[in-house]
Amino acid sequence: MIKALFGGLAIAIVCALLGPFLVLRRMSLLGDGMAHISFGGVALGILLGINPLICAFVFSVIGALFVQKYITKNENADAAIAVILSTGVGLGIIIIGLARGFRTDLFSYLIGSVLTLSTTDLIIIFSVLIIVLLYIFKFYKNLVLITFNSELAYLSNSKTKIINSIFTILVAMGVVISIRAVGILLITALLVLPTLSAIKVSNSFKKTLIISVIFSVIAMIVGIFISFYLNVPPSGVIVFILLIIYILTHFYK
Amino acid sequence: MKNNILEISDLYFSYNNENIFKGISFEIEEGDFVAIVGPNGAGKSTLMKLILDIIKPKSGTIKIFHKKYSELKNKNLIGYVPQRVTIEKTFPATVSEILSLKGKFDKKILEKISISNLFNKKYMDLSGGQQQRVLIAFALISKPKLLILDEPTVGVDSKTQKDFYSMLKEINKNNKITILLITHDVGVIPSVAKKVMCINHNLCCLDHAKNTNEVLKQVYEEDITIHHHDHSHHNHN
Repeated sequence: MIKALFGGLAIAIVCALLGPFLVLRRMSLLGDGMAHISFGGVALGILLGINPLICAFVFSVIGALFVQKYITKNENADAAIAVILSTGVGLGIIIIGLARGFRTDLFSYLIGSVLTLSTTDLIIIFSVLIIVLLYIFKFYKNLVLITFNSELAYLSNSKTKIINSIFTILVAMGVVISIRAVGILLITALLVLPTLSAIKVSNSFKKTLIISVIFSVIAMIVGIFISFYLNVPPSGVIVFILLIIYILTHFYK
Repeated sequence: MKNNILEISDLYFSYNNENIFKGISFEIEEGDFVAIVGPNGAGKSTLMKLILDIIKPKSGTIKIFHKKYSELKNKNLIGYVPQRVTIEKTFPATVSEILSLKGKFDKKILEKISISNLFNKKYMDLSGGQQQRVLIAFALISKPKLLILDEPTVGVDSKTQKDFYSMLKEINKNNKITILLITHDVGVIPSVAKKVMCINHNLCCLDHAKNTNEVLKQVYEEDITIHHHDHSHHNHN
């Protein structure tokens, strides 16, 4: 339970910090696309006996960079996200067939299993948290400017493309660690809902980030406790609490 | 001896196998206020992106302050105001947050651009004209010597347009900032700009603003005459 709380807390903070930069660039579904292509990576990892999260990370990064390249040429992420999403799920289904059936450990990646986090998982999760915190702290202005207008961002800093590419890799890392908390099917909720709720009640970008983190942490901690005592999967409870928060923020004036 | 801020020589650019520019050349002097006109698809915005090194030419040279853009040590010498920024409606940043992305700024800039009272408002809550003023303030923070504006008054009402151009004229005159302004508002050119440049793929001509009618005739290949109307005495309900 303690590992679940600490791990969940870190995952909540990572997703809440990355979310605004995706949602406000109209790339809410990028996390979903990355999660679904991770499904292919996870399945391949289980089949080959390699750490599934490492495979998931590789697939996720390749998918994200593909989407980024596509946007550069076409300025529309939807189609590219659909491509990587379909590829990942299709590959995963083929591998399930090769593995002769639907295995329990693959299912846990679909719906998450934060209550079963190991010490190794915690080390990876907190490493990602530190990297994301440092990166956003260092490149905050660049990331906000990219969100505002990519041309102005490029003119202000010639390293904008690199900064953006590294951010995409961080999103892939965030997606992969989130698979452990809420599973592939519900990652989008963790990336998107805290941001959408925070926007309703904040009056600046900085406050949106902070409030997004607060909402995400509340949902994660409360969700883990409730799921523990009711003996239900935590991912569903966490997402349900995020949804309640989202609805409540609509009444804020 | 003239001091050229911008020198373009024998510029070629093509996109999707279509030639946009075939060997255009021109120079812009320091302190000029050049209005750039041309039909839709003529390559005006493309030219600005080539100048700003956002896209690369097929051949030819572009020099700003006598150097290639990539060789400039201080890229803040160039300010750029894009067409309306198309961002998510819920973008929560305030005007002060956006301006601070460029660095520390002199509040006198805000007063000059008349946006001091908008400091703590969200950018997306502003009117079109106010948003454009914020973009100009953003460009001016780094004290550029060259300011490039790409159709900055799209979707803005005529009164706001008039104030906007007056402000640009003042910036050009008082702050000695060279201005390149892409615009379809041909009526304002003679009263605001010093020079007019027409762009239409291979055609590129630069002339004094008082000769705007002749320049437009070359670009559009028909007789276009600007009539200036003074609406200041009309009552608008």
